[in-house]
Amino acid sequence: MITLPEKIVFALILLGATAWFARRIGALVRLVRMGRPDPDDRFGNPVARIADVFLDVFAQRRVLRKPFVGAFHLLIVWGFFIFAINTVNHFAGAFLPGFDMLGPTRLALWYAAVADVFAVLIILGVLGLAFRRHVLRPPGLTRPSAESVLVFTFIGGAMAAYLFDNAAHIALGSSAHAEYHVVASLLAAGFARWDRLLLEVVAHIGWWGDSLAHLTLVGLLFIPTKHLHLLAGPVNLLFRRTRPRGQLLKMDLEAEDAESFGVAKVEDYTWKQNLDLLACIECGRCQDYCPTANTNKPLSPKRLIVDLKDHLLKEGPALLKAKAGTPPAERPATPEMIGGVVELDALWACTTCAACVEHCPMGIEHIDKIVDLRRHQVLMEAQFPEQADGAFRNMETAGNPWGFAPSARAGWAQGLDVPLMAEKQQADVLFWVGCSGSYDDRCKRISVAIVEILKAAGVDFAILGPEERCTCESARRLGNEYLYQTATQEIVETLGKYNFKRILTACPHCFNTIANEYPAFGATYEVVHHAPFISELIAGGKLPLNGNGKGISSVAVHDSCYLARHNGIIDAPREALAAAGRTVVSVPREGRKGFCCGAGGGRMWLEETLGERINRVRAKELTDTGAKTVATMCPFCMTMLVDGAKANGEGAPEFKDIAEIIAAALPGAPA
Amino acid sequence: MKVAVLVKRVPDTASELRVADDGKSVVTAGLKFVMSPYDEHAVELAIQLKESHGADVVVLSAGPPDVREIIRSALAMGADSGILVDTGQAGELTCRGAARLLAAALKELGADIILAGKQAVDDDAAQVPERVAELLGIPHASVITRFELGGSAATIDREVEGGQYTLELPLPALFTTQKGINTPRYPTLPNIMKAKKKEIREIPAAQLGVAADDLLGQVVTESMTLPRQQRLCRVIEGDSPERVRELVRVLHAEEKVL
Repeated sequence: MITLPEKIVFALILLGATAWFARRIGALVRLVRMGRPDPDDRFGNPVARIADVFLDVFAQRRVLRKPFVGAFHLLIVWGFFIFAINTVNHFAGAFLPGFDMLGPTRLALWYAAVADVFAVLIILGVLGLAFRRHVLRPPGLTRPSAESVLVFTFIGGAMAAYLFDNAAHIALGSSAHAEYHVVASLLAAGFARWDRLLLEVVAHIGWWGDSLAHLTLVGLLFIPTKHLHLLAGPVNLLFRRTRPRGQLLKMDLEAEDAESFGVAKVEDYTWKQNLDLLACIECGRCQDYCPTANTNKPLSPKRLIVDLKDHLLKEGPALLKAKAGTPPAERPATPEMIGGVVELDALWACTTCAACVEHCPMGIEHIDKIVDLRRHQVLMEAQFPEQADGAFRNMETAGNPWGFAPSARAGWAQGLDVPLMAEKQQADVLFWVGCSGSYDDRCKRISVAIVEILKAAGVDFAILGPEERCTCESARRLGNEYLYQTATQEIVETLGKYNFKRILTACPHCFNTIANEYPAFGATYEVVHHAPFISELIAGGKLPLNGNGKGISSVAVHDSCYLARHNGIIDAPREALAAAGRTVVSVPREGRKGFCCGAGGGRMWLEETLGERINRVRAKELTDTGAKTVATMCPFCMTMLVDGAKANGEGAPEFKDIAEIIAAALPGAPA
Repeated sequence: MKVAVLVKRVPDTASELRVADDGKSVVTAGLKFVMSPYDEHAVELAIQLKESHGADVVVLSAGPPDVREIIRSALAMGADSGILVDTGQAGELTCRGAARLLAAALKELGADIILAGKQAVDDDAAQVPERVAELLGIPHASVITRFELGGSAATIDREVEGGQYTLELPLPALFTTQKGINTPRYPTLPNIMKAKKKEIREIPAAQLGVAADDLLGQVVTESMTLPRQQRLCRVIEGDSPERVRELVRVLHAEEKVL
């Protein structure tokens, strides 16, 4: 037990620390709340939200997606919770000798044993993670990281101190239930010959070490360091987004009071976006499947978030001081983030493939932050990569990104007897062809294959033909919300003229935007992409497949980000291919861990000049599977991968859309 | 300082043109219209003068009421106001007619600098701005690739075959812009919104005292055809003397170029 002078010193330290913690918490809460109101639903369905947080905190659902590191983290987390009682006992015990939350019960004794074991497990967890960071050195982790060394040292130190404190007491004979302290008693056996004075010193050092390590760890939360994730993380997960991942928030472009659109300065982000930044643990999982971070481009989602966090912490205090009721002119001038905090090249590099969002254990919303910055650049500054200018203008005037004649939109269907909606007025399925399927020579063949399938299955369908226009989904992701909304209004009006049950799209980007983004414009349709649609036709016995392989022995599937990650459509295309008698071989990065082709987020229209080319990297990975055919589901992927394979040279597989592969397996299809 | 920009509404270059049943006109139903691309350079130059010299930028166009949309897109780029010389549905203006109407409107306006694209991409006539300058009795320089304002004169570069002129013109004067002089800006959202509220003054063509004869008159379209499409490449095969003979025969007898 500690002496009276020690108690007085400890009480003073405790008071000082508590006061400082309270101030820091207040400051961090104000920093978060300084953000704008968040237009998203952050509070709806609280039961589901809390249940989700429990899964992520106690079951470590997201963290365990990486089982090795997840397991070590799990030891520390559970150790933390299990140790909580001990921690309370320890601090209260300083002033109330013998205090035990569990009282003089058998439970308390068993608890002592469990706590001892967990003290060791926590040390193991910490050593495992330190080993990973400093010896295995996975590329996503920051090294050297003073923060992580501090956290490792003090967690491990607190546990070691706890064990030594107990061991010394056992050796001194002042522990009531030595036999339950299973680990400490082993240590105590080693102390058997130690001098009593030395043991007293060890006990005191152990006690103080335990106490101060705990206080330091709490302090590390609030400096803040990335250790703060253990508070900000669960809170951030609690307020997680519930709208579909593929849905960008609709901007109110008519807002009378809006001085500025999009995000230019740190104070333009919402409170949730601020909270995102504080929750980042810098684990680097966002980079694991990121197409830009993996091809030596200036954009790393981790760096983006960390840089934004540092910027928020730097600019926040001055902003907070001025916040309440200060007229805009007198507020401190914070710098524009583009060009400084976020490099221009990084801003425009993102393909919005959602690999970061998918794998972030903290539920950080990277895409929205990037698109908000792009929105400001486009809508307010008219600053964007030169190649986007042509695409924007063509989408606006010609209704397609290349500037082909709108009247030629149904040219691909000539001679195929494809009915127009304008003629039929109603059909079960409205086949939304998309710009690539309408104008791109390679992708027109996909449209033809889809028509063959629709006819073979006897589906009642029609296309819009010249009445169809670009959804401008890619313009939206480049930040051109105005163009997107103009196009959407036009399309919704056109669609409103006709009767149909479902919209079938040939393009995952069209699919995603019509299915997930149109409801915000008051237009809700049943939308299906052709991959699951084909799968459904096969499952329903509507497609007579001859299943004879037709020389295509093996197929590697290249997942479209906007199907797999944004909309969870992963199995359907594989089932369809299997039903058609193809052997699906696995690709190193697939499904939710797929690797983008490089065309998403409007990148389709931009030059790729920095780092390695994403499409070449991906084409090589697909070629290396040894599959004879690569199945794609997106016209952008098709264009990118065919180009990538061409640039890589000989030995490339053939690239076929899933519709083409299935159409080739229809009876009567040319072998 | 006042800068006037003459803009023309033309079918979007991506549009597939169709000749009407009368064989003399283009079917305009379903056509997308845009500002003639060379005019965008003129608007951009005017807005740069606004930014650098505080010029007041007025955009003028003559034609049916729909032309308003094109004026609106110039306003969205940053021009201050517009004037629509409304010709109703009187049919296609001749260059002479358009020039007379615009000159009449400009006379009233009194601009220091008048800008226009070097030609409109529909009829490629490259006549209206120069005619306007003549009618107003002011100097003009066409196809300019650089514009520098200095006091009461402007120094410009103009492109000519294989070289370039550098000229100084006293103001007021008229200039037509060539590609390369600048990059027309993409309108920002606040400017698009502001453009909706900016004034577009309408002047009925009849009020400008231009005789009806001057508007339509002299030029009569006899017929209009689309360029021959799908000319197939032809590879002439055989040994060299035979191929040369065949080539000469095709060029002479079939294509009638020899």
